[in-house]
Amino acid sequence: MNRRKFLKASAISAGVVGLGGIALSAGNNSTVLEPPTQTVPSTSNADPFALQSITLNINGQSYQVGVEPRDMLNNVIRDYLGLIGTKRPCNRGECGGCTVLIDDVPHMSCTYPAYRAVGHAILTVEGYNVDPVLNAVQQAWVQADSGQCSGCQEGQVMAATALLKSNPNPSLDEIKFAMSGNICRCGNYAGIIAGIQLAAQNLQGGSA
Amino acid sequence: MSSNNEVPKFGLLVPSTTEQAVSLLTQYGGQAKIMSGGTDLLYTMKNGVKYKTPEYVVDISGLPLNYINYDATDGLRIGATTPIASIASDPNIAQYYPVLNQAANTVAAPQLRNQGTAAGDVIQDTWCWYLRNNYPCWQNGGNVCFGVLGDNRYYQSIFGGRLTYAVNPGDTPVAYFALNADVAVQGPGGTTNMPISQLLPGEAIVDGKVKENSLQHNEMVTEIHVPPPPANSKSSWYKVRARQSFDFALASAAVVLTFNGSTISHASLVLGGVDVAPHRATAAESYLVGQSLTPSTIQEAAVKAVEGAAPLTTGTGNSFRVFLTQGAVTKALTLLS
Repeated sequence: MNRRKFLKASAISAGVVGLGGIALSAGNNSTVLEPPTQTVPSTSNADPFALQSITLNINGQSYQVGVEPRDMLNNVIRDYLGLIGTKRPCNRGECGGCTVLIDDVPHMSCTYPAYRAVGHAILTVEGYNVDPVLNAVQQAWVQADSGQCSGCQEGQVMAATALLKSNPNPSLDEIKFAMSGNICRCGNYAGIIAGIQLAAQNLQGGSA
Repeated sequence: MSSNNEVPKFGLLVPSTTEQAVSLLTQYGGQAKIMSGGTDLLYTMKNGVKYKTPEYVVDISGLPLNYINYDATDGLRIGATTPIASIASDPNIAQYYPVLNQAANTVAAPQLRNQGTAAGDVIQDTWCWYLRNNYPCWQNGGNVCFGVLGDNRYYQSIFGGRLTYAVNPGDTPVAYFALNADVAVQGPGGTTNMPISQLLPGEAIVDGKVKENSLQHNEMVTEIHVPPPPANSKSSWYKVRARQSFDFALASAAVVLTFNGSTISHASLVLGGVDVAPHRATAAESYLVGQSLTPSTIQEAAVKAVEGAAPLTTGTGNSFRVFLTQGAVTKALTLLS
């Protein structure tokens, strides 16, 4: 149907991406897209459609990957690199479920061109072992029962992480404002807010 | 079925100056489009909207157009690629232009404010769901406005239209109208300055295409300039959304009032989300001059603000937005009383 060949690969991503030793179980039915491999040096205006080989810094690790101009960051981290923790619920920048942090600032990865991410630090939901705030948010998420169907959860966790990095002790209104770009179809907003408040408390020296 | 989920192939052109950006636009003659934040363009391209999908994208995000400069005599200058988030958090804008500060804080979602840019919010395409889903409307190579015939509750004008009834979707442009901003437009012949109302005339026919802004294919906005706020003036913003967290305006109001004591000596009142361009409510403006803000004058101004409204009666109809508009005006004026 389109240019992309689906490579049926059961657990191909696990070894490749190496999540700090944490095995990523891709499962038998999951698919990892074949990254474009035929790279062309990105000299200016050589061929505007050409694949470029770029290096992305994701969760403290370097990944080299071939991308086309039209590849969004979400395509690359999910489909080419197999970091499937970042979701792609609406793929239109309307739900926040694909949120990742770029230099600690939340962005919707489905609408962010991958080539722009070069030279920036990308943090995804898999980065809990390199980012203490993300780790604290995830732990609080479990404690406060903030997750439901998981359609939006990873985006919520990342938006919450961005909030607590810039504002360690947010008020209720500040939480609602910062999280206003993340839609939860289960309607578990009370649980999400409780998780963020708990994470803030734990990070401030409460019982972690 | 065309690409309903992926951005179609495009050629990436990365200029290092605005002059180069304009010459690339000229060189590719209508096949190239400017991308700054990309939140609008990439969405449109994913949906495969025929007339809005370019073959080449000129990415200007690296140009030195990300700045906010405030000067008491010159006013405010905002570079084209300045993120909305920077406008929303700038202390000078918050102090001297509350209406712009408040409008910027209601644009889309935090993530999109981090990526979407000042000029993009002004010249983004309408969010009419017929256009966005590639219906062959006037703006997309056809000759009918589906909004008039169909579900026109959210995105269609209540002040009439001609070829297109879809409303200008931006929030900050409404504030810019109220603040009498002007924009710098760079073209092959150099830079021209024009009032923002000339950039957003409501409906422009450029190169035979129906558009919502008057930019030629080889022109780009480089800067937005807002004059200094008048002495003894106050401003405010109110936006009504179907979903409060993150949505387009069903109606919005931007108000700048200049006072002599408690009496209004000058009024600027602009409505957003209800007309094909931000809509200056002239009857309400002239009514407000000489008044002071009381519940009864505010109510009268809100009634006059929708003078001339002609909500659609075909399709679903959208007359309820006349009342939402009155509510937005009431709220915005009450914030100043």
